[in-house]
Amino acid sequence: MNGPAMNRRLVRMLLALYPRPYRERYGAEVVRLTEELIAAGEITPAEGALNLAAAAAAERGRALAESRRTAAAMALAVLVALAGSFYATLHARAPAAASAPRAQRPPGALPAPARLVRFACVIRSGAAGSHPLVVPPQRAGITAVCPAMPPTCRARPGHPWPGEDSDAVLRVAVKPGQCIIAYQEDKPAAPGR
Amino acid sequence: MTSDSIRGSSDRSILILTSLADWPKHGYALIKDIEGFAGVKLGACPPYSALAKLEQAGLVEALPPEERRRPYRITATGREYLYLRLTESARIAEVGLRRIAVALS
Repeated sequence: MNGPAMNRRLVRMLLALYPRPYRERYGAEVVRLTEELIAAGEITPAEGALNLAAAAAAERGRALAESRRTAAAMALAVLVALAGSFYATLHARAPAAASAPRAQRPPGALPAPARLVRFACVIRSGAAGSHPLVVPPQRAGITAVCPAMPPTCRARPGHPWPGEDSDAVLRVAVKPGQCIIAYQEDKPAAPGR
Repeated sequence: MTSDSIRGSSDRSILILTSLADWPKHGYALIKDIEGFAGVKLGACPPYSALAKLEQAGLVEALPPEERRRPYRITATGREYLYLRLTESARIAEVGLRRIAVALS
């Protein structure tokens, strides 16, 4: 086996010690550069091999440190998600408790304004990309909540909107002709309403 | 402590960014250039380890390869970062040199 072929084989073997992403991205360039340095007499094949082995160890160490950081970040994300779901579960109970007295109201009477933590005012422009607008609780006044409700909003207080998934929508209608729709989740508005 | 022992990875990144500050270079040209202006010899792999970090940070970008040689170019963010780091180093150097001069006088 001649010198350059042996060098190339040795370099490729040493390259196998690197983490795969590094090898795939920079492997060809490292091989080329090592060959150039050896050919130019800048380094001996032994120095090149030593260099590659040392850098492989450093890259392995870096990859290991990164994977540890990733694992820590994932654990943190899980903790945040758990805390979030716990918070959401706690707050999801509030509307249920608030709706209990409304079940006893006389037939035909308007429901009392609900005390929602947050709710969405649907601007039914029919334009693509219109989404429910989340309104903070302190702006829960009726006119403030739905300033741009078009006159085509014919839903009567407490009545379902055709086509709406009743599970996903909590209706809090306050006056005839005005409606405030609280969404449990973001849903794009259906066109034509 | 030798002058080489105080050169850390961040120093290597600055050397690479400085080398790329004028025009794009591939690995070999980068090594020779750094050797020329800083007297620092980088092996075959350290430039790529540092280039990987710099590329990840958006400070340099790879250009299409030419015969298995891929040139690298400094980005606008990289130039800005280099400018800030060099300005900072120049300020520290100025203070240090002034104090040495005062101590010697």
